[in-house]
Amino acid sequence: METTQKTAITLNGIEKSFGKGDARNQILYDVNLDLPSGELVLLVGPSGCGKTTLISILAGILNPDIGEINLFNNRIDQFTDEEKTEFRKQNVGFIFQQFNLIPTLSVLENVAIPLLINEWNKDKAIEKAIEVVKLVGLESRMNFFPNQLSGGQQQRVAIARALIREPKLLICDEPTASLDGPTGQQVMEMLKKLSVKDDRCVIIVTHDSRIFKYGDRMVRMEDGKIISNERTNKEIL
Amino acid sequence: MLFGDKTKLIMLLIGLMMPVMLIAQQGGMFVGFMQLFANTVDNTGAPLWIMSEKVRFADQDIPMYDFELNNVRTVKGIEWAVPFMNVMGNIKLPGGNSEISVVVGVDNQSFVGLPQNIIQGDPKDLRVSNSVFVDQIGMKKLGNPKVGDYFEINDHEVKVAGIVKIPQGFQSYPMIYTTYENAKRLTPDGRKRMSFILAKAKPGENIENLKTTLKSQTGLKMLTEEEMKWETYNYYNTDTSLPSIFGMTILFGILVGTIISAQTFYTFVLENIKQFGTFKALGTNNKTLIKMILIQSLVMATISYFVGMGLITFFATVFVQDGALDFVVPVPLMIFAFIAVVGTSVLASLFSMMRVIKLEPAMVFRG
Repeated sequence: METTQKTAITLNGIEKSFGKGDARNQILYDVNLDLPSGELVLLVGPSGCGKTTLISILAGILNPDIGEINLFNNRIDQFTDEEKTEFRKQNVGFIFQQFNLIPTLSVLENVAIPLLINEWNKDKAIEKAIEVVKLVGLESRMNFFPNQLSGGQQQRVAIARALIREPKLLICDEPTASLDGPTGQQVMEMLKKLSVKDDRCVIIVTHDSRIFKYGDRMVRMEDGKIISNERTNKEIL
Repeated sequence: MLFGDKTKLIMLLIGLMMPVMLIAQQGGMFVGFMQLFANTVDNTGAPLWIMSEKVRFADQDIPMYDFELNNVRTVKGIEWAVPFMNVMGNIKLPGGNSEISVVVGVDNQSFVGLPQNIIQGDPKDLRVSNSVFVDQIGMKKLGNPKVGDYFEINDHEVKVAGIVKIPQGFQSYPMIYTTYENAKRLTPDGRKRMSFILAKAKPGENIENLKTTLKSQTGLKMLTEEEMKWETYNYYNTDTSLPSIFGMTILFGILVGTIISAQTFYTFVLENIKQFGTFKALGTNNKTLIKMILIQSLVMATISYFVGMGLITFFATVFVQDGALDFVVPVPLMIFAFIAVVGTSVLASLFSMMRVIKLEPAMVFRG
């Protein structure tokens, strides 16, 4: 299997710091990383080790100080801000710990946002959103608003929103942290089933050891450095 | 997004309604005042006004000699010319109180200058010595005398011969109409008594040429009815503090409205910053986000405009009674109010737009 996998993401010598002068705080030190497509990658490490900064750089929403970022053969470190925005629009999906749904939009409208941003016709976008909402099992809640849904349901909406554009890179920040155990498991099963494809890469930042079993690969970070990048041994987990 | 937050929606509505209502109310009153100032012109209905060169508005009394009327009548191109007096008089009220009034003296043959809307009486009755017509609103101030009753002006007893209806003037004094001859008897003596000469040009006469001819022959100034109104408007606009008083109130309204709206908009954006960050992370560019804010801003401006205008119309209908101060909101003022509220709304949303433009999408991952 592994021999047929293509490299989805390559990071070379990524460094990032915040602040200036005495207040300068270096977060990432010479990060090098290769991730293949077709895997669900878990990015783990203690708080403050630089996970969030790393995924922000990976997603093209934060610029590194130095280093190369190659996402699916695109050198996004050389992109302008506009080009990065366009790249994200076409290729990157997000799932957040707090779901980040738009409270005044219905489930269907929330899910359709990435298509509407891509200037789809509203009717077609909603049609497609209905398909995806069915995939996450929320067909009976299509016209509900986020505050009418449980945490697990809201996260399923967020998954639907992230997947509607079928992004090559899906970045999930602590997707189960706000959910109880069984709901977290359900969400992970759904994520694994719907998002892991041969030509895609899913990266999940998590502290939740209960979901480690869903990972195909685990990247460990500590003090702004990658300390390991290995396929998971599910039996040990 | 804004429409999901009812409290902010109402705050914004109030903030944006403020300039609309102040522009409509203060602007409407200003236009109303301007119309009141020109009521003297409207009430006479004369096509041409001839006066001393120094006269700057319709209620100014810089009297002329009577012989100047004859001089005007000799000018080629003048079809007819009649005297017109517009002076203050002191009315003695029953019970000993007094009331300032305006005594208007008109030609005793043509009655040019007498209001057209005569409720009671025949103009010919004014030829009787010391007979007067009183305006309907003025009658109330005089204790509601009836036709045939008597009262005193400047210690002269006069008889009420009729009642006229006119738009109320700015000064809201009772208007006493009589013939020029009667008016001369009722008002303090002097060599110069005639406030204006009302006239009409012969058909086909070039008014500009006639002005020049009249000026060279008589030394007097001639204005058309419309020019007389504008001369009056211009006087009050340039020589009184009225425009600055109304203008300051409107500016203050726009300023307060902008501050309230800007603060509300900004708080709204701050409270929804995560959502804006999400939009950015998902690939929405700044142009689209600005468009989103602008659309919400313009929709709010439009709603505020109509609600504000509706409220002002309601207040004007309920509280401005017949005969009281005119409250006029002409179309240009409505357009100005709309432009002002849109401008206020856009200005108020500028800070929010700047905040969204500077927003780092990476903030979506922060707790």
